Amino acid sequence: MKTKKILYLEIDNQIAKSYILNLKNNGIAVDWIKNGAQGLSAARNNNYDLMILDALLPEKNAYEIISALRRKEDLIPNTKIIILTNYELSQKNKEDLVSLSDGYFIKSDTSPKKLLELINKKY
Amino acid sequence: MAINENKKAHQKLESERKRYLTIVTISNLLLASLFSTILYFGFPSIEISIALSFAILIASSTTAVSYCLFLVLIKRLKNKSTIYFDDKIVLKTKKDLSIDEYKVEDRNTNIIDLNAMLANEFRAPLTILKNNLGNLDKTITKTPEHLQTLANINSASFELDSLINNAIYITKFQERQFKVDLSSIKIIDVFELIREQIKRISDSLDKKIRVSILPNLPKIDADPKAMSLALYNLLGFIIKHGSESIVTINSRFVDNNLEIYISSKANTNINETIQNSLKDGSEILGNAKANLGIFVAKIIIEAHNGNLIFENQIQSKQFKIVMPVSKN
Repeated sequence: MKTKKILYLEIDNQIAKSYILNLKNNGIAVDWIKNGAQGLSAARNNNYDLMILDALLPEKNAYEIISALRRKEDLIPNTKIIILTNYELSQKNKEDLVSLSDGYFIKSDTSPKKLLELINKKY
Repeated sequence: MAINENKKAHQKLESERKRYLTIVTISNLLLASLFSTILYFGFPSIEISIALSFAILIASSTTAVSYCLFLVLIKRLKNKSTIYFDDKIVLKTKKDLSIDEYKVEDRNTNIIDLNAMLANEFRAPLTILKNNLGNLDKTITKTPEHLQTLANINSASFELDSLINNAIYITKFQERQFKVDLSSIKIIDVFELIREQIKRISDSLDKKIRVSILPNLPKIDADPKAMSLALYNLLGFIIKHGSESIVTINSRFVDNNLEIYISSKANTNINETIQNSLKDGSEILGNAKANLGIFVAKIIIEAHNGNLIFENQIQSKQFKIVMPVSKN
């Protein structure tokens, strides 16, 4: 079976490590990047199955990254994108993000186990 | 915003229970009278009579079920000093409202939900706490990974404690019961109380803290617990929202006052949050664009006859705390 490959954009070390530990223990390869601009570049230059990103990141936020990847044409057609954030976005910003992504989740409601289940079932 | 003032919640629910009991008794009497009247006089249409009787039956049973549920809720609330942050994390408090323990537990009842505004700030440490508690059994005891998981749990617990203390201080402030327990203390000793926790926040975000507090500065009259919370709130805010990787805290003695500076380059969008947070209490609470930590820092500093000022400079943003020095 092909190993799933994920690009994870998260600035908080503790939060990132807590999710990555469980993903790696379950055979999923994770590339973790803390910077939005570098994350965008990695997404364009690699073939990931899934991209998980926090809403607020240094240099480029989630909306800017997803817009660059999907607004005009889908530059990463084989990659699903989900937002995993703790920030309470405005209704408008949230709707924009949801319309361009494949899922929107609140971190404090999404345990590592739940994230793994979601990835295995839906993504 | 009495999030864990369980005694008050008990009293409130007890009075609601009595009121509820009275309403139920009167309703039942009225229903019984109505039902007797229907039975006695009858109705011209048998269909209307059946429909009305059926509706009364449904209403009575619904009332009885909700009343039973309400009694169960009160019983559970009386037996536990428990706050559910969300579905899983449980905080148990002692009688003096200090934290007893955090643990992951399936939610089986509704107790006290946090105010939505506070819940927002709780999300990051909650995520760290929940995820690390969940991962704890996956790491091998005493390995660096296990120790790091424990350290993360400790750090997130401290952050949650601070958020809870903020809520308690706000509650006391609203009820005009906010007091400080003063002792003559050096500001560097106040900072030492939070140094480790601040380091964990800064490490987690790849930021550095530069501490330039001279040990020979005059002492201030301060409540160490309250003052350390004020410093923790301000430093935590600047670390999280500053755009520069270095946050500086320093102090100096000027005109019989001790001035403490917490500064960093910061994103311009935090100005509005800070300005909102330094307004009067009535304007802060319920304002989603205010930061409760800054507001609590302000009320703590003012309770010490000090001042909290925000200086919005081109190159940097800084909090300036002015505290009178101790006369002892």
